[in-house]
Amino acid sequence: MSRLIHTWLAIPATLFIILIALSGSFLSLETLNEAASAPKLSAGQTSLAILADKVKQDYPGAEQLTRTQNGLFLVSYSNDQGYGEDQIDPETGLKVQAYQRSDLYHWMKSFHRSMQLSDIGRMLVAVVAFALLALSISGLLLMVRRLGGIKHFFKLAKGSTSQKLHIELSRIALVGTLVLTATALYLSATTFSLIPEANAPDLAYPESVFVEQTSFEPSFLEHRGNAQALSVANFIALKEVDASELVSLEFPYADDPSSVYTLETQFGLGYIHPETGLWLDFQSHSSFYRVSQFISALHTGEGMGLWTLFLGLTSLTLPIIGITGIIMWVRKRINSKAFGQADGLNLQNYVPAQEANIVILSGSEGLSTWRFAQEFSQALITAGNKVYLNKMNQVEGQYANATHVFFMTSTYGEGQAPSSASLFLEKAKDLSLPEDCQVNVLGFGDSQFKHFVGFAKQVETLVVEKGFKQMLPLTAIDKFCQASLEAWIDSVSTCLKQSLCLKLDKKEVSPFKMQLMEQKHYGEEVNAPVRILRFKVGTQPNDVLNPATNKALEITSETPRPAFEVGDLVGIMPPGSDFARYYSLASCDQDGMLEICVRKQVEGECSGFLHGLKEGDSIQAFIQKKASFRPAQDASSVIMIGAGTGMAPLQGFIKQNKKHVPYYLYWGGRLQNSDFIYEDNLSQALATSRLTQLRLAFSRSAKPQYVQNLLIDDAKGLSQRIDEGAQIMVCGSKGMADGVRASLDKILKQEQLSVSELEQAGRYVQDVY
Amino acid sequence: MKSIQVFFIFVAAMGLSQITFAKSLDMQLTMKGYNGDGAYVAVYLTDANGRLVKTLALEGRKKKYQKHLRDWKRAGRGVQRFDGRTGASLHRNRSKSISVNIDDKYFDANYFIHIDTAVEDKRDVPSDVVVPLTSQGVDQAVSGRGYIKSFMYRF
Repeated sequence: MSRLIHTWLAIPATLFIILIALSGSFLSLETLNEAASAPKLSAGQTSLAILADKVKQDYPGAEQLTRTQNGLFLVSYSNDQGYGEDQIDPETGLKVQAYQRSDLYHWMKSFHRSMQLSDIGRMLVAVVAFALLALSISGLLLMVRRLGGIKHFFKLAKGSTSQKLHIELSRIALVGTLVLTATALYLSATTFSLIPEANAPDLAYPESVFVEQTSFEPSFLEHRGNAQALSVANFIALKEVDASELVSLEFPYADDPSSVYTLETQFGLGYIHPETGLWLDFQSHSSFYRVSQFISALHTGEGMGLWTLFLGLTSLTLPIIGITGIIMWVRKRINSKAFGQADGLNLQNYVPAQEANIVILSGSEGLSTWRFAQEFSQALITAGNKVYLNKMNQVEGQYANATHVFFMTSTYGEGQAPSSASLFLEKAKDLSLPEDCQVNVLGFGDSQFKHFVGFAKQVETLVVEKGFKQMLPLTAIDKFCQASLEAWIDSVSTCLKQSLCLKLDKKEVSPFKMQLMEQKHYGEEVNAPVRILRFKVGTQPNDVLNPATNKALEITSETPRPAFEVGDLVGIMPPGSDFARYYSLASCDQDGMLEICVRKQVEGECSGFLHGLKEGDSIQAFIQKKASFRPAQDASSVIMIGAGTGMAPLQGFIKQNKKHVPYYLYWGGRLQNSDFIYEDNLSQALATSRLTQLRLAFSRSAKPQYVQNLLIDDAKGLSQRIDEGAQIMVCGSKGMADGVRASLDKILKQEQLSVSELEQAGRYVQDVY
Repeated sequence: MKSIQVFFIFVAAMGLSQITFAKSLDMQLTMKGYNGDGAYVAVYLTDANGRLVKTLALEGRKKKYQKHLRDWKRAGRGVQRFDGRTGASLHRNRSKSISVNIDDKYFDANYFIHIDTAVEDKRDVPSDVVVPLTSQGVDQAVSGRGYIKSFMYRF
């Protein structure tokens, strides 16, 4: 819901927000400028009586003395030469310069308020302010969700430059934006009289002080009797007012004996007798009026010191936030456009839904499932079928001529539908298919996730409930595994009695040669032979043991030396195999060595090949980046959990910990004397404080233990470190990773956290095989 | 029968007398090309002592800014009741025509039309225009000292 509001409000509002924010930041700059040029007048330095006296002498035609909210003192006067307004120095009472706001200022102010469109514009601006408020709140909710809970509000954002800028700046701008929009709405509401406006004090102008008053104000008579009019400098009422408290002082007309001094201060409004200099009347500002003045000042920043600067900067960030937001949205659109039927590629080869004999419906969150569905459709069309392809959400009530229907879908989150299949289960309840039509469900996913092909399973359940015939049982494809896709295509070919030719999308890799220089053996005694293999990269030996089996992997002469980091993966294809196995790297390119740690699997094709290598042998390999699996820069500490060869990248990270961030390593092996790999490296890291704590569990020791046991033992320390912002890195087999996850969930429950929340915030990363 | 006729004549006379005692005053007011937002304007009638007799027009809706129409406030001693419709503030270079019915007794009888103006972020101009309401003054354009370029009236 937040996302929906955030996106669809932002699209129409962004341009307006940018314009209003820019004009607002210009205004705040003017305010800052004026406030900076205002005289520094400390309280108690000058009384209003003295200032007013000076003004009266310098400006015989003075009508009014005002102090702007920014602290400038202005005199408006009229004399023989005309009328005008001057800025004066409050200490000397002398003219500084004629006061005039620039044309640009007036234009900007009017634009900021109403976009130069008077009342319609004012309404528009109010709507934009409301939109910005709604965007701030929905954005806050999205951000909290993205970062994994309010606790992690100050965590650094991850993602593309646009995403980072958008999130980081939003965080800075949040408070300012909330204040600006809320106050803007208040101001608009008073403009349109939606809420009562705080009236300026309304104090009746005193009755003529000399003529009528004589009869009932004997005290003034007395003063009158003294006949000597006091000079302004001796006015008691003005003496008690500090110049810095002034709002405005109106001088009486010389030719009008009934006029008096009108004084407004921060505290109230009153009238002063022009000759006695005593208060005739005074009324304090209502607290409503003062609150309303304060709200207004919060928005304009006038007389608010550094707050103005803060508001100005907030306004300046808004255009950047808006533009990066739009960039993010456009990118997402471009990505998702490939889903749309507008995708012109070979569209003419498809037939309408009711004519097709093969119907393919695809549910996809990213692009890969959809691409596969397209390629599969093309292969079917090439084989002479009438094919209809669409998103699962576009499912129709029936497919009159269908003989085969394919549902291909990925799964989102915890077994939910991907975005292009979100309505499918509801809509497909009314689906009817011809009697002899056969259905197949193909689920894509990643077996590391708990709800692997969860949504595909729900689709299959529906297929069973509806009583459709299944051509093949539900087929689950793990990480687009080429072997299982090929197997599936074979079965489909058999069922359709057609041969399907599918070009499976091979990832572009740049392979290189590497030569084995050194190897170490471990774990022979516990039937888990492990080798640490060190390769020299980029040598040109005579022959390679596993020559490339297809063109894509062929080495060209100008292959650059590959760049890799600890935690990336190296892909190796054993001879005669069509797909690569991946191993986590224990070294980086700057080490001058490519180091991996390989355990020999029973009947493992690739691990067997690698264990059979001798020093000097050369093989082909390629790098697959895995930037997500790195120690976070901002983590207060890193908790590393691994078992077996999972140690390899972890110790690599530890070796690189030059900043001595507290690293805690929990590792599980079989027997200390046999398969404790990297023992020397670890004891050295402990000695140089690159590793803070090492906890070991051995499953075949006298006291058998698994790494999960270590975690439960350390529950208190762990939850404290996680609370302080620790990152967790897990590397090892899937079985171990699941056990670790369960144990950590148990520990985190008391903190009202979960592993998946940490995962979303990028604080739980894993490399699992 | 006669008494009814007399009654009608009396009523008609009353009506006529109303008409004869009120006159339409038409005013035309043009703003200068000053730099700034719309001006708040009060047009009002005072007696020779500067006391408010009647507010003729008020442009500018926000009550809190009306305090800047200072002479108007002063002349009315804080009790200016304006029953007419308050218009929007007058922007620069705009003209405005105002027609009001006022009592015959104010013409050529030492009464004055005052106009106060105020513009945000600029100085207030109380008594921007002050003209006596006389037959000689009809169709005589006067310029104000502040934001008013010209003002004239006829009746």
